[in-house]
Amino acid sequence: MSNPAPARVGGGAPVVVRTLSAQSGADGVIVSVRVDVAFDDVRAELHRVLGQTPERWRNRMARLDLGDRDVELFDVRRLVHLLKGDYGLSVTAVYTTERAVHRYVSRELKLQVFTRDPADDCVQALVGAVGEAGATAVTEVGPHAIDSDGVTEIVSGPAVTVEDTTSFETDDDVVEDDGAIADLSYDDESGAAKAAPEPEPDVVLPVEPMPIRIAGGQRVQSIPRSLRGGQSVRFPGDVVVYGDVNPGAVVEAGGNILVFGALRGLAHAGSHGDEAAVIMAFDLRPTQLRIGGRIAFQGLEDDIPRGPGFRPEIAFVTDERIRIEPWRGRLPTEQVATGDAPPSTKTPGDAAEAAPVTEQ
Amino acid sequence: MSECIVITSGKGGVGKTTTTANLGVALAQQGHTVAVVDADIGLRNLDVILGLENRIVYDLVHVIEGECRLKQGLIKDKRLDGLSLLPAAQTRDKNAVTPDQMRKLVAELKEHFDYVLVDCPAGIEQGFKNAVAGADKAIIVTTPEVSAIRDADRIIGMVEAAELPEPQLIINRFRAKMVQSGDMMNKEDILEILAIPLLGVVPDHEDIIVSANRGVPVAFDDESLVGEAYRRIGRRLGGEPDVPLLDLTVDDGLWTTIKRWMGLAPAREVAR
Repeated sequence: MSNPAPARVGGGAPVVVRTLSAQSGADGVIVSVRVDVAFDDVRAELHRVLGQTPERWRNRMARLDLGDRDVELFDVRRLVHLLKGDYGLSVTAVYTTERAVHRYVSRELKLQVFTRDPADDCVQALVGAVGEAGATAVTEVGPHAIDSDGVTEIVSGPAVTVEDTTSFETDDDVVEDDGAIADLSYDDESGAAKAAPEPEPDVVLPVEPMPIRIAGGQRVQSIPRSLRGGQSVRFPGDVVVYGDVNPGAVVEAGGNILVFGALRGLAHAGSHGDEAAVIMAFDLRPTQLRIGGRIAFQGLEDDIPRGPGFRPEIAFVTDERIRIEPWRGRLPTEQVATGDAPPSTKTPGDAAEAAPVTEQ
Repeated sequence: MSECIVITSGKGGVGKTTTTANLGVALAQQGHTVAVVDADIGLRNLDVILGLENRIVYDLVHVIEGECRLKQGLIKDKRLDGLSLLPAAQTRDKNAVTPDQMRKLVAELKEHFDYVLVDCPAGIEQGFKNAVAGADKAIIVTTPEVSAIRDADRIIGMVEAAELPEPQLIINRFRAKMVQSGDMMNKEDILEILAIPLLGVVPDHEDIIVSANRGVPVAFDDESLVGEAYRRIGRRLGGEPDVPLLDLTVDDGLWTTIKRWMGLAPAREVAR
């Protein structure tokens, strides 16, 4: 029993960290991220929570539960790196409801991905899965536990509905470390109110990388006007802008971006991690381009005055870099070489599907 | 049929207040009745530029809160029939007024004046929302600087979002000499990005500073090139859209002289 950590019951912790027993053979730690908290706050909170007992996390396996939030691939990458770099926690899997993130996470970060039903708490899902293998034990400590002792590895808050995680046994190891946790586990709180849930292995079936999610059956979002500074478009599929995209405007597409005008602002294609996405514009002079997880800035020397003979250009990822080429009436060489039909007969979305070959 | 025009820019310090004052003068000189309204509550300037600061008794917030009648709040400019100022409150802030109240006020002003010019505060917050509330159209003021143009672009988007018709642009502090040497954006560059109709270009000149300090808008000065630029904009605004172009190079005496002396063709930076 060391000095108590400050009580933060009312505030609502942005992250919840749970441990599984080492004997279960499952991943050791689950890090859950609250849905409505900015990632910067999440990172700060992770440092605060994990930093209390840094030695505890070394060389353990972790799963990252992103909950129901709209995932930014940059943030996933940064969280994974934070857990690994600062605490030695190896993230092996990600829970998310965002199907479109699968392709990126599984390919780029080499992580296992589980679809997460928004209605379910991930812990329940995980326990269901490893419960089949038996020997599962999860330590669960509610918000009220935080002020008990700084040693606890679990900081919870209203972010996660802990009621779902009923009748977990207390991790023996943890009890040895700190007996107080046993008293605070949810066995006491809600075990009586809710019977032990049946294992639900379906919830954690690995899912193959999915194509770009299609919102409302709509594949392409077309913007029939210019986007001025401060205006933004965000769409899971392809985005076509009939007009200019001015500095300060943002176009973010899960798929490709086509601008029938001058692209002077920020364009992010393949925002869920699809680096096969392309960005095209009649006049491509962006402040910043992003494709998948890659970023390209406009250098000062790149600001070449546009002559009368300017032509459409296309930006794509090749050799792990964003490259811009004049539009030659077809997709970049690598993609055409795969034997796909000429792009002139295709929708922009098709181009994205044809393109992953470049990634191999 | 009267009209309420909001003069806005997004960025501060580009000359919204100066433009409002001078357009007010220019329109009044044409025989229109004009009310200029300072919507920059808490940071009023328009009264100083117009030289009417010492005559303020009541202000916009007094009128809106019913502490005085509209007629009492308006300050008539004695130099010019038809020009009146409704000054901003200095002791309050933007939140003292709501868009609905502004709408009501502007509607009342429009019953008495041909033109109601609203000087919008910088920024995109409450003050901006108040200023555009009752407006029928907007004039965007920018300077040939990237930062001002970025903000102007953002404001144009917000003006459109407020469902006002396409705004018109005034490029202020234009220095033909610097444009000539490639050190300043030319008006084509600006118009390419902002893509709205150009109402006029106002050259940068010391006259503006002098006139602001004296409280006599430069549009009163028949000798001044800047005054002429404002007068032309006023005429364009007041129903003469085809007022001829103002050639900035002609009046920039020294520069033109040197150019001629050097035998260079005077590249004429023409401002509409």
